[in-house]
Formats: sequence, structure tokens, C-alpha cells
Amino acid sequence: MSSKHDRERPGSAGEDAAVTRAWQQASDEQPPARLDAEILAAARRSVEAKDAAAPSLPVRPWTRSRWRQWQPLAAAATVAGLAFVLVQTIPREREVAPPIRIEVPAPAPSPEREVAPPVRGDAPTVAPGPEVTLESRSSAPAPVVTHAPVVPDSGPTGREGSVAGAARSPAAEAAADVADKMRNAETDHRKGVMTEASGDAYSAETAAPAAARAPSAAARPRAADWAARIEALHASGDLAAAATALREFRAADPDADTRLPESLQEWARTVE
Amino acid sequence: MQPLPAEQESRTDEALMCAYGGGDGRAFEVLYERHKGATYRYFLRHAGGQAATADELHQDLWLKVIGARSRYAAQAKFSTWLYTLARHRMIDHWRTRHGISLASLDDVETLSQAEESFAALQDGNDGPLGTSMDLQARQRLVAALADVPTLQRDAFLLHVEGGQSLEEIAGLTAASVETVKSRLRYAYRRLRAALEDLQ
Repeated sequence: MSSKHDRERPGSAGEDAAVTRAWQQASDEQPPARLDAEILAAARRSVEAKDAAAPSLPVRPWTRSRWRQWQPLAAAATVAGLAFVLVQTIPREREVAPPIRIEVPAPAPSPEREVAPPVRGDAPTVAPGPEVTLESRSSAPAPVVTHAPVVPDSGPTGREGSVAGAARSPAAEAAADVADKMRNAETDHRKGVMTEASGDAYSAETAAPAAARAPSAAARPRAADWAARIEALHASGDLAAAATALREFRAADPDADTRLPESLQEWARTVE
Repeated sequence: MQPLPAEQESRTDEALMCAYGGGDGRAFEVLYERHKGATYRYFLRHAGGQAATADELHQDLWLKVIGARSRYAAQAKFSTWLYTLARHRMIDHWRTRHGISLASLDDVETLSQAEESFAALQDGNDGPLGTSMDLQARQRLVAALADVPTLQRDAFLLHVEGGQSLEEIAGLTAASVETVKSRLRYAYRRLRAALEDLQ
């Protein structure tokens, strides 16, 4: 039922009193009693709670649920979480290609065992000459193959034009030869060619997975060559050239000192 | 519901709302009793007679009133403030449910036709409207209003159900008084025509 106040209407220009009267007779709907009770209960709760905030009512099916209100935030959080997981699972270069530790034994102290031009032969052999060993930290089990240069007295099996012999191969010449090979190795590396065992002795996990081996393979000849070159210069007595080479090696490889033979470690510490 | 005290009945809407803001729960009951029918019908007519929608909108409106009780300041008529809230809620409903705005419902062409026929409206005979209405006449009248363009219907409901003056409707709808007059004339004309068809 509508109250008297409900039906008191002000007059205005152009008002059609008859239509208004007819409308008021036709339109007399009232809200359901259930709705009245809910609203009045909410009003009472609001007063009792001394809180001006909107009162809480049972969630109606047609109203927007809290879940729908939080849906955008939930979606954004999910996307952010997935992005974080993806970033964490992407393999990093450092994990794929761990630092290579090179162990080079001390060179033979006698002048008869001067460094000779290594042989290009790829047959895995164990030679008494300087040996560079690369140990990969990859967890993949792989057989270790050691490549070693052929010592001068092993016969003319070296590269073309080289003559092995203590009398004809001074240390400086050997160092220059090593430098040549380093340049060759770099050229091959640029061409994307794996120049395996380009005359230097090293050991590596050649059977390791290609993905894990590829980044470190490029560094193998360089590290070995650097170490051999420095060792040859040091053995020839040209300490200044050896120090210069060591500095260049350090610039190219932060772990250069660890890749030097143990006999050079102490000397290397004196080189700034 | 228990009878409300006579002194509460005599208070103005603004005084009742202020009293409710101060913690007088009975004041709200009086206020709600005064306006509940009009606000409910306002929503019901705009919703095309859908009671569920009218229930939802009516409840939302009064919950807003309850929530704003401490912020209410009697700077304007309570009913004007109330129908401002009601109209905003109605517009929100149209936007969310139908993706349309109130302005898009303004039938300018129809409004122009109403303006042209206003002279004829002034000479109308309201004889049959003075009699009591039967059910068919009621249904016809309600259906006729449902066919009235939204802005015209809105003006009519604010005027007849909400008791708002032309100036107040103009302020509520951000339109000029002349525009409100035009809208009302059109709505009245449609309702009169509906009733005359019954004769």
C-alpha cells in the first residue's frame, strides 16, 4: 500500500491531471514483503554496528560475486607466476657451458725436451710431452679422450714442413708456431668449424651432449694454446713476452691463471 | 510492521534521514515506508515489468541510502537525492545488462513529432479517464508507458511516481526545463491515446 505522501504530486505546466490520476490507479505495485524485511534489517544492522559502511546482505545471484571482482587480479598473478617459472627454467649459458679447468703439467726441464710443433694427428694418444686436460663439469657421463701432441722425437709425423729435433727447434720457434696455430684455431672457430686437437694436447669429454659441448669447444684450443704458448715463452727465458702473453690470456679468459701449468702458477702470481 | 509513532510521520524526509544518520533506526523505517512504493515502481516500469530486476535495483538503491546515512547532508530535497541515486542505478543496469546508454535511447524524431502534436494534446478530452479503471485499462496504460521512449518515460516516472518538479527533473537529468516539458508532453500524449483506444 502506498502512503498519502507517496501519492502527493506537485502540479506543473502541461500536466495532464486525468492521465496522472489514471496512472496512479493503474500503478500501485509495492516491493515484496521479503525485500522490505531485508532492507529494514540491513538498516537496523547498520545502526547497531555504528558503521556507515554499506551493510552486508546475503549475496544475491544476480549481483557480481567477489570472485568476479578479483578475477582480473587473479589472472594477472597467474601470468606473472608463469613468466617467473619460464624464466627460471630457461637454461643459462653458465649452466650449459661451465668453466673449464685446465691442468697442464710442468714442462720438461731439460733442453732436449723443448716444445716441438705438435702433430695434427687426431689419434688419441698419451704422450710424455705437455698435456692440457679440460675437465667439463657437466653431469653427463662421457668417456674422456686425451689428445696429446707428438713429441719431437716421435718422427716426422708432424705437420707439413716441420722438422722435429732438438737442434732445429728452439723454444722461441716453438712459441711462434703455437701462436700460428692459435690464429688458425681462431679462424676455424669463426667459421664455426670444430678444429679439434689442432696440434695441442688436451683432454675433453668429447662424448658429452652436443648442446653442452658446443660452447666450451670453442674455448678449448684457445685455452690450451694460450697455456702452451706462455709455457714455451717462459721456458725460452723470454719472461717479458711470457708475461705479455699471460696478460692477454687473462683478458681473454678470467680463469687464465688456473689453466696454466702448475710450474707456472707461482710465476703467474708475480705477473700483474 | 508495527505502527510508527505519529511524531515520526510528521517529520520531513530530510529530518528523518538526518535522524537515521544519527542512529535513529525508526526514522529510516518511516522514510522507507514513504518512498518504497514509488522507487519500486520507478524501477519496475523501466524494467518492463520484470519484478526480479525491479527487486534487485530497489534493494541496491536502499542499501546505498543506508550506506550513505553518515554522509548525508540535507542540502537538497531528500527525494531529489533519492531519485538521483535511483536514476544512476538504472543507468548502470542498462549499461551492464544491455550495453546501451540512456542518451542512445533518446528518440529525437519521436520527440519532434510529440512537439508538433502538442497543440492537439491541449484540446484533449479526459472524460473517460475520470472513471475508475478496470484491469484491462490498467494493463493498457502500463503497456503504453513501456512503449514510450526511455527518456520520456523517465521524465514521466520521476514526475508522477517520484513527485519531482520540472526543475528538479531538469537538474536530475541534466536537461533544460523545456526539454523536460517536451518529454512529459510526449509521455502524456501516448498514455492518453492508449486510454482513448479503450473507449
